[in-house]
This record gives sequence, C-alpha cells and structure tokens, in this order.
Amino acid sequence: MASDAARKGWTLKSFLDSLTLELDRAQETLAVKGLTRRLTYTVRDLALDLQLFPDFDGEELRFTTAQPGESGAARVSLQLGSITDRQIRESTREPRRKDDLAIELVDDLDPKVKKSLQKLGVSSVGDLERMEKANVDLDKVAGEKIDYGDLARMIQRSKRRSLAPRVAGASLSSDGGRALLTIDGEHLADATALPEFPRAVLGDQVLTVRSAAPSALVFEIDRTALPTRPTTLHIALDPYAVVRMNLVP
Amino acid sequence: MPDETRPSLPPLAETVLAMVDVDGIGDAAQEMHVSELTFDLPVEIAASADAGLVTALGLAPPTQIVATTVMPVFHRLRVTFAEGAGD
Repeated sequence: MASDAARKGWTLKSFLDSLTLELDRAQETLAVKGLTRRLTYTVRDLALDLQLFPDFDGEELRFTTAQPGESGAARVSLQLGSITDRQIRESTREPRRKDDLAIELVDDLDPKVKKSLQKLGVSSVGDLERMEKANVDLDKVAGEKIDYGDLARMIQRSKRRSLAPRVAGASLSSDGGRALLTIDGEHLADATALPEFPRAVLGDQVLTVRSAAPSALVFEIDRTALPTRPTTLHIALDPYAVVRMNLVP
Repeated sequence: MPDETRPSLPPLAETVLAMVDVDGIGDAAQEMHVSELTFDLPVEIAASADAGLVTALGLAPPTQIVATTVMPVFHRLRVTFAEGAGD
C-alpha cells in the first residue's frame, strides 16, 4: 500500500509547478481574448483547499489526493496571487549563469552531501561560492563534513567533463630558429586553470608554451630537437585533462 | 486500464477558462459592467503522477451531487477574476 502511495504520490513543488503552468495557459488564452474583446478578465487569485494524504519516506514528502471512500485526509490550503514583474525580480533568485554548474551534476559529490546542500537551498556552484564568501560554516548547518577545497576540486573536474577537450589537428610551422607546433581543437586551454598549465612534453623534451587559447595551443620546439620518428606528445591542459597523441614526422 | 498520463477530469486551465467565458455580460464602454467575478465551489481533482512529479492536473466541478454510498472527494476552489487584458 505504501509503495503504491509512493508511486502515485507527488511533491508539493511539482503540484504547484503544474498548477501555475495550467494557470499560465489560462492567462495566455485570456490575454489573446483581450485582443478581440473590449472587456476581458484575468485570474487575480486562486485558492485551493485540498484533501490529501501525506507520505514521508524520511527524505521527501509526497501527497496523494484522497479517493472516494477514504477518510481522515489532511487539509492542505494554498493560495496563489498574481505578482508584478517587480515582485518577481525581487523574490526570484538570479538565473543561473552560463558557466555555473548545478550541484546535481557534480558527479563525485557524495549523494548525502548533495541532498544536504539542496535542503539548504544550495543548488548550484554559484550558490556555494556565495556561501563561502559569506563565511558560512556549512559543516554546522548541513550536519555533514563539507570541505570547500575538496568541493572546488570536484566542481572543476565536473566542469572539465562537461567541456571535454577535442583535438582537431596538429601542424608544424617555423618561426626563425624555432619550430612552432600548433594544436587546434576545442576547449583546449581553460582560462581559470592554474598558471602552470598547459604543460607539454614531446618524447622527453619539455616544450615552451607560446600561446594558449581554447581553440589553439602553440608550443615552441628547438629545430635541432625535432623528432625524426613517431613520438608521443603529452599535454596536460589542467589538473583534470591530459591529452596524448603520436606525432609522425 | 486507465491512461495514467491523462487525468480523468478536464485540465484545470479548461475549467478556469469555462468559468470566465462570459462574453456579453459586460462591456467597458457601458457605465455598469462586471469588474470582478469570484467563484467558491467544491471541485474534484485528479493529479496523475510519475516518480513524484505531477504529469497531468485535472480539475472540475463535482461529477456527482446526489448522495450515494460512496461520494467523490470534494476539494474546494476559490478563484477571483478581475477585469483586464492581462499584459
């Protein structure tokens, strides 16, 4: 019975999302009607008194609507009112930045820590950075051991996975007495990486970085040290991404 | 076997729109017109869910009003419509 309730149950957030979606649909239709009629109406507020059965599995509270013949349901009342654009701006969190990462997507993070953070309203790396700036001791608040340093490393690793490097080609050119090895591709250099990156080793020769950009890396090679047979090139783009390829002269 | 992805009742938006389908009861150009409408009524609700998420939300006035052995569960809806053309 409990598993059946859990299967059919829904979270309050999901119900509210669905409710506001339906209301938005109604409002949009009314707005269209307003184009052809001199007088039309909008939904100013809406309240529901629901007969529900709650089910708490220790982590999530789900509800099912009372069915005919069932008694003892809880009454849950909710009221939705229209809010202005200004209120939306004041009460809604800033949209997640393009370079931000959802906590949900940080693969290496312990699921328990993820849930603790989400319960605290920390849903993205940006939220976490704000917490760190505000000097919030998350260990105490979340009741879990949370190390900002470890977290930052996991986040960087996850970010790197979502922006995996791709090598499109390698070419050699000359610049005076030096040869230039250019590696083209995508997501090669990361502007936020540590200053000692990228690093490259051709065979056993450490290469000098001429320039590093997301779409191209340029390394200097001493002309006299150019390999005469296939040689392995290792490039460490950052602590989480190493590219290896064989260069054939 | 009922289709659980569709509610057995009309979608909430359709019911709400039907309530305010009042063309002809007022006109802003006339001196008197209806500026506000409030409904307070019992409703039946059907919320289909999958993995905790509501997939369809149906809401309609009671399908049955004659008392029988098993009556539907009545929830309560209060909705106020005000004049205006949205945004």
